[in-house]
Amino acid sequence: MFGTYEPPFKLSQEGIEIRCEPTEEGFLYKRKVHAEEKEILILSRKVNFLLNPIEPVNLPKKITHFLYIDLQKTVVLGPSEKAKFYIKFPVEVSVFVSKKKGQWDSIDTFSLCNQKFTLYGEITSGHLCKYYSSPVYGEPPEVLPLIEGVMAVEAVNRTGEWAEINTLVFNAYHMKVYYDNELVSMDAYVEIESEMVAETTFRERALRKGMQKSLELYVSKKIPVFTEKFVMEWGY
Amino acid sequence: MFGKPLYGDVTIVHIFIATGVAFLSLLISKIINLNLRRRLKDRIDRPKLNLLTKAVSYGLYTVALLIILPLVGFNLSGIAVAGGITGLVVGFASQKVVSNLISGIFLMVERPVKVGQQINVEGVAGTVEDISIISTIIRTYDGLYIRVPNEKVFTSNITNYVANVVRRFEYTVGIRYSDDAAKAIEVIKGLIESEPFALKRPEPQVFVDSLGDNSVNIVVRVWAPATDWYPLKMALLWKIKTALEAEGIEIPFPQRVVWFANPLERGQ
Repeated sequence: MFGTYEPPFKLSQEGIEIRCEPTEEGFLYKRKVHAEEKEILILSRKVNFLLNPIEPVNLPKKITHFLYIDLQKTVVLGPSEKAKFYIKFPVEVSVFVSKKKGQWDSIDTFSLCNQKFTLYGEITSGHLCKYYSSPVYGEPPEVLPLIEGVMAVEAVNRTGEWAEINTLVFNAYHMKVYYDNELVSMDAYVEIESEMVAETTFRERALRKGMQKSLELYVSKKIPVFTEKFVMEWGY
Repeated sequence: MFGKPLYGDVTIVHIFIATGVAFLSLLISKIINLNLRRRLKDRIDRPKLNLLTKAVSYGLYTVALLIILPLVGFNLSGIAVAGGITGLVVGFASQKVVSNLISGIFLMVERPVKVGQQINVEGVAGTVEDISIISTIIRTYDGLYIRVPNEKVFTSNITNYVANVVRRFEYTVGIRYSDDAAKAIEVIKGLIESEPFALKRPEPQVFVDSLGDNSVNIVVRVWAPATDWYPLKMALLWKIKTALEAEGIEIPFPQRVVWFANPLERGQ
């Protein structure tokens, strides 16, 4: 389902139905996911469509740019050790339109996953996050790409103590999402700095060859001195 | 004619220039503020934008005043030196205004409330529309315009409903004594779990709080985002009632059990 399309077109997969039909004025975009329907009239004749997975923090409402993954199993790292494991994350698909090459605007976003929010940190100063619970795998698991993606996590314990990882929090502004027709992936890097503090970031790396990088909805300004890391200061 | 002084050294030309400067400062301030609001509305949040436009306006007015006063014959250094009794009189007469002014400055510095936030000050509840140098404007939930002097805002207890990221709301749901409370709690918890805006953490609390006269009272406490809690609160209670009834658990009417001292004679 991911990729570029010239209208008119019709897609149907995993309970998602998308149609783009010509009208007198332009095109009528219709999307149906389970019971939820959306229609948009596009008053332009020369448009292209792009469907790609985006940072999964937009639904059901854009109120946060953080993703909180609750690990269903605790990951334990020895002092000064590093390890790699795999977790799942929810996939959100955005539909972009473009009249000019390279200039895409999102008109619709949908997901097949249940939506939930949570608080990470203190009530007065914490972060509201999109919540997801994931099992932990030693190898990349099988997933349905329209529902879940696979995140490779390389964790490094910079402390002299054993570290237990139960949750990971990521900033959407640092996310790099890659996709092909069978997989959506991200590559994360976690540094355990102390008993309560860890830093998370992402690498610009696909999980396998041939994957394309998604359009980013959350683009951070690259400011010298400030690194693109999120500091988890209330535990992990 | 134009060179003839009206009073002191002030000529009609000076008056025209002073009027022109005043008018120009108002115009420039409006144009700059309009452009700032248009360009920055999507880039910075409303409280900061408000503060920026006010700083620009007051800055321009101050500069204009410093230009106008010498033109119309006020010697600023003279005023500073000869403050004395005049200053005392003016001070006493305008102490409330000055108090509001100082309170306004402290409010802008301390920022216990920001434009756009929902607050309650001395029984006035609503959304902060504007914080100016003398007063704070609140739009009540009924759409009424209420102007609260800054001194009152600054010295009162302020309840800010959205200062924190999340907040909690609570229901009390009564079920019959004959119903299974554990089952009711399970149903309610399942319903809360399916609501996106009912936060996973802090965890919701659902427990039997009291054994009332008419019902077993279950307290339901849910945390939600401070900006999106009210729609959830409006919708969730009825969903709880419907879900409980679907499981055969009823919310009872007020009732009494009557015990008779002697057995009742049955009618013939």
